[in-house]
Amino acid sequence: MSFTSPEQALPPERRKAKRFALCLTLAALLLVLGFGFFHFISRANREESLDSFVMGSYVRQTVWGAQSQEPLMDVCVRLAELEAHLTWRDFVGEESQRDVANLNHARGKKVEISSETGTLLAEAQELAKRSGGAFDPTIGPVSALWSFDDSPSLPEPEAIAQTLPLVDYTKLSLDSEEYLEAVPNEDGSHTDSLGVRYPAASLAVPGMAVDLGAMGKGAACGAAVEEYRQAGVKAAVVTVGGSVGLFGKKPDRKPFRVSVRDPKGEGSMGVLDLDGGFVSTSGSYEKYFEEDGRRYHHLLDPRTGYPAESGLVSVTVWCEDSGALSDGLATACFVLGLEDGMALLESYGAQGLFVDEAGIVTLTPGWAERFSLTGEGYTIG
Amino acid sequence: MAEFKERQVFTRRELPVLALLALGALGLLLWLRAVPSGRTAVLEVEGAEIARRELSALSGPESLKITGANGVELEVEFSPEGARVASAACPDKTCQRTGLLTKAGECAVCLPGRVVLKLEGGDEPDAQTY
Repeated sequence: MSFTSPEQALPPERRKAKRFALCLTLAALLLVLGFGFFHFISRANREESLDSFVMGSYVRQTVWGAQSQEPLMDVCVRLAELEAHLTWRDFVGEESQRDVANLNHARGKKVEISSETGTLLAEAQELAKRSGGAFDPTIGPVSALWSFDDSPSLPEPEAIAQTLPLVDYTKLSLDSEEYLEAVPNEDGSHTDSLGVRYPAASLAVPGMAVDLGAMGKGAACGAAVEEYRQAGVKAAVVTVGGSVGLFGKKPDRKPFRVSVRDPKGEGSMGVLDLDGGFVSTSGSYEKYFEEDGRRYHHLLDPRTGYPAESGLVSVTVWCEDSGALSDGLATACFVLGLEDGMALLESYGAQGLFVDEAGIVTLTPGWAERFSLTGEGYTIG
Repeated sequence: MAEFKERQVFTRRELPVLALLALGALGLLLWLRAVPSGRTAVLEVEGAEIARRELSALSGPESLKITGANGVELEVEFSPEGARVASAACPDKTCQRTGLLTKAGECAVCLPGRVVLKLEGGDEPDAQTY
């Protein structure tokens, strides 16, 4: 018993024509499917960017996988709120939002603060302790004398001597309370974890003042990355001033490339290849003034009240999960100098790049393979 | 054998032409990816673009005087080598001190004037730390 298919029953010319039509249909189908797939991938990997001025800084955001500008706008709103929480100025945001300004005006009384400010103050106080006071969140009275943010000038030595006793992080008190926190797991479920929050703070001596300027831009990067995570975007890069937050994986799966400003010349001195985390730089080149032939930069040593003289011109620090810490550590390391700075970074599990006055670049072991030097006049130490 | 020939989508004579076409397309794709696009200087005031210059197309330095937010006056210079803020009438002069921008991704920012001068181009890093 044998069967003859309908195709075999056709004459050869008709069979050819039928196959040709079939091929054409298949090709058209593939084309439509290809376009559909490309459209889907393009939408999923679409790049959105937004430049803005928030927190007294130039903020650049690039986000992959967002369906609109909404997550980027949400970040701008979040940073404006954060600025109101952290500023010592009296004209930013609503009075009820100004945690740091209210704390500075409280003359020793306890004030209620947001959980965001409380966490940041606790992080700053811990850094102050571990850096031996090379970083101090209560540097406000001394930084007000130098006024680098407005009209910088050299203070009288007597004024610095009188103000210096007000700089003492041990006299900042934080109320703490434990609470159950729902920590999200990778599979979408949640695990209860015991967290600590700081609902109130006080400064022991009237005249003391908190200034979180050395952590603010990094904290802003941290807040932005939190927003991106909640919005479910694929990847994002945010820069707030010179601090950088890196989140997720870019569509091309390549590492993020972060260039490092040349502290002695123009442009950049090299590039870092990073998989994520937060990067901040403290450099003596950024803000300074000259008086009587001498240069005074803005990175003050809280222990002396004068610009730090550690032999460094720039420190770049990377932290995996805290933007505020990367920012604060960069300042602390600049003040401490190379050896103590390296030890501090190691204690935090952070990475860093130190540039000294002679142009010698020193990298922590974890960055040896990630940094490419492109600037002239530098040598890797 | 006749059956086999009928099932062939392309004849043997057509295959080299198709292979050449595929190679040509692949070459074009690789070339487009490898050749860096030129550096372009972009000048923005309060988020609005007010000037754009393809640096390689400039025959010499070109100056542009602008007034940013809060009445801050700046002079910006474009040249084939790069772009820079030549002068800024504000106290901190951070943008002026940034110097000549030569690589894509670099930027000079005047915060009081809300002015941004940046270089865009093919080999731009994702961010700059300073």
